[in-house]
Amino acid sequence: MTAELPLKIALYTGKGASHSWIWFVDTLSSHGINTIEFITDTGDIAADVLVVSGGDPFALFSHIGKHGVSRIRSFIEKGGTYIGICAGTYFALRFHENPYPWLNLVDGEISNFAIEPPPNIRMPHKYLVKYRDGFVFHPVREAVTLEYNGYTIQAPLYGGPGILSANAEPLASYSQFTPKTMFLCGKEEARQALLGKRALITKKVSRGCLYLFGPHFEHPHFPDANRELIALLSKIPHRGYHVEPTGSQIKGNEKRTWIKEVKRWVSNGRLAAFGLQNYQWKIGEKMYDPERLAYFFQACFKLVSFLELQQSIRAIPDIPERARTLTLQVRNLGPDAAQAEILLEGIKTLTSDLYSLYFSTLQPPQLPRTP
Amino acid sequence: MVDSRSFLTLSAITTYPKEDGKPLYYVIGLSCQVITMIEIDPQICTACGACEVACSLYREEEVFTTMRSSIILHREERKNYYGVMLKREGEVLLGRPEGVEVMKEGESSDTGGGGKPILLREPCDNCTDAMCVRFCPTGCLKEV
Amino acid sequence: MELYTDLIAVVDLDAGEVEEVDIEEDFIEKNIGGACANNALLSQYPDSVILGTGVLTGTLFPGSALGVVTAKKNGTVCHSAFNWFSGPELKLSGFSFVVLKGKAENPVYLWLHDEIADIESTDLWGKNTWETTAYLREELGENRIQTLVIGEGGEKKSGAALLVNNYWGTDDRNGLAAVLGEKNVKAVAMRGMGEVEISEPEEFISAAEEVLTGLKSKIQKKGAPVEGLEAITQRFDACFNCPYACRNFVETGENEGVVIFERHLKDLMAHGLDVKKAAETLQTCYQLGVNPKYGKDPNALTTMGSQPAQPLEDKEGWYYTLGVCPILDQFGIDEEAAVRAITAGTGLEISADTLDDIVSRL
Ligand code: SF4
Ligand code: SF4
Ligand code: SF4
Repeated sequence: MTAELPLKIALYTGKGASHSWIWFVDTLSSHGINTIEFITDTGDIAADVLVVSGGDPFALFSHIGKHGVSRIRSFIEKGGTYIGICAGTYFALRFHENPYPWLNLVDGEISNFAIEPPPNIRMPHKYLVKYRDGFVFHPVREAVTLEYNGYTIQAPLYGGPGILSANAEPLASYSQFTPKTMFLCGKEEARQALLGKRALITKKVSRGCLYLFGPHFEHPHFPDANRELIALLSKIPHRGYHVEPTGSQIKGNEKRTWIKEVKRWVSNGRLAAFGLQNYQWKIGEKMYDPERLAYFFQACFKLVSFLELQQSIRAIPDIPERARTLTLQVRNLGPDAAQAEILLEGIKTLTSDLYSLYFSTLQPPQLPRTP
Repeated sequence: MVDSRSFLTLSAITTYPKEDGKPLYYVIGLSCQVITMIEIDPQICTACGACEVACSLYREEEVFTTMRSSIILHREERKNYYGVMLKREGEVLLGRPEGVEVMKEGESSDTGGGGKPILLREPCDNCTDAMCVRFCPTGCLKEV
Repeated sequence: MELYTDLIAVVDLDAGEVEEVDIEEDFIEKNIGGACANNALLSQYPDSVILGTGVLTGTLFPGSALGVVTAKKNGTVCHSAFNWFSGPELKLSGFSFVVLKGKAENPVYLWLHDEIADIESTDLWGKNTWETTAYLREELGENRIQTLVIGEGGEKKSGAALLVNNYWGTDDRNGLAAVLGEKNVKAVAMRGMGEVEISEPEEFISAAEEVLTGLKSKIQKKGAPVEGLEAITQRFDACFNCPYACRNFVETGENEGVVIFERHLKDLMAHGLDVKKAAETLQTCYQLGVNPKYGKDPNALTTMGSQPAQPLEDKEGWYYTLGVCPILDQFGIDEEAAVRAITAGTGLEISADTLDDIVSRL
């Protein structure tokens, strides 16, 4: 057998993406898949798979625009695989008689849209999103049970849809709630909105294919769902893309100085993010809180701590300065949403750059995988 | 049958009146499920922070740290205003000098002190023989 | 090394550089920690100021709030203690010990976080301790930061200088704040987001719980036993993981007040002040970073001449080595259980006799 290039995954981390892509990366990485490229626009997708994970589909669309959408379409038509999770699923699903001009590659309806949603009982800020003449509502959060391939697994739901009949093949459906399920509306209404509805569907489009997930199979606390996700990825054909290594190789004193500066500022940023007061910022249609920022800084800190232990690493020269700037922004952050958004985008990019360096350090990705 | 322990838990979060005599939190409906829950009596807390280390040890098993606990200490040092916050599924139990209040995730507390990204932490597991209770030296944490 | 975070920060103030030295098991086996380990570091780095944590500091062992500062003053090795939350915070910052060598050319503060020691130049010189702590917390963006800070007393190298932890006086009975002043170090700020490993967690927990149960059965009081103090107390506070909340908070104005340290309050009352006036004066002493042992006029205390060294008394050396508050000694700490906690925590074979032997060298 000849050596084959590994599966290359393009993960969207641009505007509109929240933090759940970190779960995706961590889960894949813990299963040995490190060939992930982070993209912030969809202009040129040179990968086998495009993943659009959680976040805000409105913000996503206003960022990538019609052009970006048509690039995703042509990516799929030419044989690419689109994985939508939560926001990425809404983005690909044409629901409502008057849908927004998103990707809309699968026709269907969702069970959690209503002109008059059931009364909300907790977490009002997470419950409703205005959509056309009504609302997309989120009846439950946290772990739910799914029927998948004839058996049951658990995965958490953080705003993903229940899918009614769609012109696509159903792979999983919501079967039960769990003791950890948190109800945002009455139990009966939640049951009606979700149970028996589809949680994962797939559809072939030209030479490509879409997988649309409601729940987060990639969440690191759900090993069974993780396994299924990995199994599903293993079926996707590899089309021979190279993953270019990020940054340049450094070692010795150069490495020590670089890592020390990065760590200094990531540490400062992390602890200032943990010290933030209880602000909330509305960015697009989504509410953001200090947790998100702290989450990204925490992920950066973990990556820097890994790089620190390596003899020789890959580095990007301007990361220390960017980390410093972000830290100063956290320290000066107040209730202003515009400032918070700048910071959020900055820390997302820093996080994905550090992940790329981590992958490139870990395993020079230009080498083909030995079968 | 409603177990008396369920009542105890719920009464703990309803009986501290505000100055105007109204309870801070109204309970809608009672659960019949018997579960252990951690109750806080903030009046006798001394802000020693033992609970943070104890709960972190419960979570990590082999290290002392304050970073993993479901319970955290909040302190405004110069005016000696302090209390503990316990993260639960979807809500935070605030034990403050004014009494005990439940803050739903995403809400902010009226008097501040709800701050800090406690929501990144794991929610309380309502342990039996809980480490936080065992090492709280004042008895202000109780399993009920 | 279990029960410690990994590093000693050797801070060269002349050069403005920090060297991070790993803590070796052998070093802990020979010196255990706290005052004893500080002594060893002081012989290795003469004329330095050493900040150190005890072997149990920052753990679940009751009263493990203590950190120790050690330096030579007029040729004598002196130890002062700091507690509240700064001992644990220092350890969890990644640096279980800090050596401050030489003298900074201009005023600096040291910022310890996540195994990083930053020497920052500062214009905080001349600011009182309260302003300094408030500034550092605001600047660095986190209220949980602990500071060890000097005020006018330390800056002027007064014999009555007192090291302050955040806003409250430490048991700096040897005026080591003045030595920091000599070195142009205004403050040490710390944030501890790290962790400390335990060799045998279950054994450690059971020893610590035994000690806690013993202490709880004997501690029947809160606050410092000073007549009239309880009546003006807003609330009782404890240092990190301490079962005896000996610290009364007395309000001195709207939204502010002072955390009392018994000995300091008693000193002021011995100078003739009533309890309320003494509490108010103590607040000023803490703001200026001066020790009321030597007088009741805080301003006058900022320019006192040199004072005799205060050696450790009775069993204090033992507590200063373990990192446990010696005030708890009045309730009787089960020493055998403490030794068990040390061996379970560190994984080292340390007997009560070895410990006593090491402590006796102080
Ligand atoms: S009950 Fe358990 S999980 Fe909850 S705070 Fe206590 S130790 Fe932590
Ligand atoms: S251990 Fe108890 S007394 Fe100490 S801070 Fe926690 S709740 Fe308060
Ligand atoms: S006895 Fe008092 S001074 Fe000592 S640790 Fe406890 S509260 Fe602090």
